[in-house]
Amino acid sequence: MPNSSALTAKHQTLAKLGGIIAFVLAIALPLWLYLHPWQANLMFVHLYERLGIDLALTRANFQQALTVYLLATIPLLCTALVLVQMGRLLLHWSKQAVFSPRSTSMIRTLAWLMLAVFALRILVRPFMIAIASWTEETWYFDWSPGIYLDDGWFLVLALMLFLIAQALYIAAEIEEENEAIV
Amino acid sequence: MPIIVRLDRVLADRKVKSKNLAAFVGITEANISLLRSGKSKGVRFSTLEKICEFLDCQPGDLFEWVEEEKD
Repeated sequence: MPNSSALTAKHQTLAKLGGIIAFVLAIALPLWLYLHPWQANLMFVHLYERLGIDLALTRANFQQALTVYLLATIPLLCTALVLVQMGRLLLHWSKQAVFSPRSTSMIRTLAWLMLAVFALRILVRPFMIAIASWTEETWYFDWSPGIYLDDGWFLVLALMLFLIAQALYIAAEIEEENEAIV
Repeated sequence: MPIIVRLDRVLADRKVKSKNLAAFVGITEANISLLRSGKSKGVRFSTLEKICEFLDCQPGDLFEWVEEEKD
């Protein structure tokens, strides 16, 4: 369709970008799960031992607490950036989608809500880890049953986000085919 | 193309953003953009009706016929 060549190129770029983001997300999510201190505390304590970090001592040692904080924060920030990019793509796709303005607005609101939930989790977790590391509180690390439930919910939300992105992308593709007559 | 779309001019005259027009008509901004740039193959009567209603204009204000140059 020669008339829509510009839009097609844009969609192709978006699809490539989406692929890269999905790839990064696929790497970032396990990193998050493996490297955040709750999982490390339960499953990857050997990694911390190898790095010379004793979680019990980190409360008294600022340098080690900072290392734990950074180890937790870097993958979280990477995931946050990926999620922000996903959100931007979602918004872009929702603008391009064939839905009525009302339903597009609802999808956009849903996307923002989901991003807000992720952002909140991402922002709150490192601070909680830092607080738990610097104080004598142990309740946060002992909160193991809730951790698994949390991660389960996180994965469900991530899957939902991905499915919505896919749905919007397919809708945008359908619209692209129909755009000759407005 | 002998038919020139003057939607740009009408939007500018009325100081209306294409975003608002798209929302009123119920089509995407991408499609409004296609229409403005004259890249769309056609326009539905229902779309035209909504555009005229929103911009308070006649279909003739939106389109202009010019004679095609012959080689």
